[in-house]
Amino acid sequence: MSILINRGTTVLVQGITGREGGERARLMKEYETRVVAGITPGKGGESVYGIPVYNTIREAMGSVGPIQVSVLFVPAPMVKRALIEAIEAGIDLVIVPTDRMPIHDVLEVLALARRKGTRIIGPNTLGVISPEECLVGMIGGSRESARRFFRKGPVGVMSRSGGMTTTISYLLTQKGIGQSTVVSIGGDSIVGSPFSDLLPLFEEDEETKCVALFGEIGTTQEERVADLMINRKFTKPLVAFIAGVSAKEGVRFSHSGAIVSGRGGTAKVKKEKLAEAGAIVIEQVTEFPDAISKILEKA
Amino acid sequence: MAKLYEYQGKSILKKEKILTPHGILIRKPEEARYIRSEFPQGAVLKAQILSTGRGKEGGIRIALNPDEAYQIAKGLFGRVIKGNRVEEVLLEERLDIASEYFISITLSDEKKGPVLLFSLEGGVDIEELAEKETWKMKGIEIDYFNGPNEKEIEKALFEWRVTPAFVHKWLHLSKKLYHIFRTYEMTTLEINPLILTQKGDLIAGDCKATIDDYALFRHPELDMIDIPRDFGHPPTFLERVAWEVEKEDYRGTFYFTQLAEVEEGHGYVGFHGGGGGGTMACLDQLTQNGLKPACYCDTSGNPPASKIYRAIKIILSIPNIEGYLWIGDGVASQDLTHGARGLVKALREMRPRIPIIIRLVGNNDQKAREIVLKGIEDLGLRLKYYTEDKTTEFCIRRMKEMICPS
Repeated sequence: MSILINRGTTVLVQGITGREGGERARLMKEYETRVVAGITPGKGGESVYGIPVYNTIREAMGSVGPIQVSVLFVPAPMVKRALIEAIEAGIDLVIVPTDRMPIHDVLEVLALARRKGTRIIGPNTLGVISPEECLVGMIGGSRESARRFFRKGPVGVMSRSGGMTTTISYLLTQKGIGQSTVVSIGGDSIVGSPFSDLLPLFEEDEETKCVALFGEIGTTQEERVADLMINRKFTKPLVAFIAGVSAKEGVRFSHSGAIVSGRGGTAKVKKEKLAEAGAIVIEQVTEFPDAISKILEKA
Repeated sequence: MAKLYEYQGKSILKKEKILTPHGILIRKPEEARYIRSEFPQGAVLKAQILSTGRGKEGGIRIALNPDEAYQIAKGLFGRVIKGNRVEEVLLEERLDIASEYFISITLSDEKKGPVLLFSLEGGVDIEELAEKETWKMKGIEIDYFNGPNEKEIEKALFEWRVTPAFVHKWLHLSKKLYHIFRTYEMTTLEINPLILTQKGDLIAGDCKATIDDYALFRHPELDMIDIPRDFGHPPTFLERVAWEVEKEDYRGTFYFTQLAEVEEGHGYVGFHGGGGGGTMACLDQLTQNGLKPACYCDTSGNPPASKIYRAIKIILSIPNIEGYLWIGDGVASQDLTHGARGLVKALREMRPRIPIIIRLVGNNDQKAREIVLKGIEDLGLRLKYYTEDKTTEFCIRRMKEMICPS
């Protein structure tokens, strides 16, 4: 098994006739993701790489049947409307790669998603992949590189950095260690599915034997992971790396979430809390494969 | 995020009918003499900086007459408080203070929404209060659509035994602040102190507001914002140039901030990474290995060659750097040949004599390497180019050796 997405998952691409949307739809399809439909208002009836395009999600569902996941390749100023459409149409999981989405749009959409029970990954996520089963988003690049970077296996990977999501998986794959599901949760200060929302899924997933986590300064996400571990809501081994030990207070490092403000959110505090909760905290990203090998040998 | 100065935040409060002290912004010490006509009872002089804690550093002073005001202003202008040079001072009327409170609306990543925080003890270091005397601070989750819940606020205030008239005023203020928070797409709106005057008015004694920079495109009325970025210091010349590049070109991300005042002979390097988290992790590794980064620069999200070319030129323009290190520490999904072309153009124009180390891994990395090595072969640069064949740590050590040959 895996979490969030698997071989049978049906996927919709919102914004499929755009440059990015079309290209990513093609790459997802090449990875054998079941991309069943695309949406671009006003372009219904067209097709993109053999994928039928509809004007609205309801129309698409009427034609192709139930759709579980939608991925949005829609620019920031328009993304709120597209997200609301997906939530109202009853999609279970919406993945939002869009960068620079205004935070009040995020708040509004998350408030609505909570009412409707929709899970949102992102914004500013690279995507999600359950290796050799299903890929949604921009993760992996071409089919060849996706196959080179990821392979099926026992490690759940979650990261606040898109690039590091791939890097950690690739380091593991090179050592012959595969991944159950790899999630780029997005670098923004408020995201739809923080680490603490995903860990219970990895806890339940039988295939996942341990989790690799890339955290960074800012937000309370890593602290809440520690709380989950202390409260025994997550009991599998967890290996964590936290970026930003050298960061000065008040300076933002690219991601809108990556800023130490006042006394909260330093890398030092996060590392201490995670270690106290029983996580293995490593000092270099390149230490992931060894730390995880040791865990898997013991299991 | 875009932080507003106190006087800018207060101008929004005033526009939205929240009481603020009568105030005048001055830009020269001589203008402090205005207090003769405007503030016969004396005035408060407040240094306008974006950092907190100016009070403890003498950034807030009371003047009773024009001469005193002038002398204080002379001392304030040009002074550096918490890393910020004072260029503007706010003159404000003195209030008859009965009590001081704290109220703020901020975002909770845990609740994924806004929260209202308040305390009947204001004017103090609120973080300290929240840490040491937690019970004195009330926090209420705000429903994004419906705003702060009146019953919850009433319940919290009830414990403090305040009058019904006060409760009414507090509720009104809370709702109004939330309205402002939403309308101007803020991420923080904090009034500390919120002053209750002897007459019974609630007046905003200070205002710290932060606007979401991703939403600025739909707020032309907020044109007072200079550069919507958190540098932790006023923007430098190069940071301004970098911001101009980013502002004009939405393709990919270019993030640049200077981390130190670079002195010659101290071994500072211009540091360039790719991807938010990876660049920061690499920066950590640099510092741990004793290399001093002059800047943090991230080009990611598939920017075109022209944008990366500008980024590299800006890095190489930092005076006194002794090396340039570009490490895409992750496995890049962006097409690295764009970066390679940008690099060649920048190096051909600038012909730097400092050692250069490049390590780029990911999409099209072999082709990128060829482009660079071929493009600069006639320049005689001190450049080393690596891909997966060498680790980041190796590159950092190599850079150190090249800067200070042992």
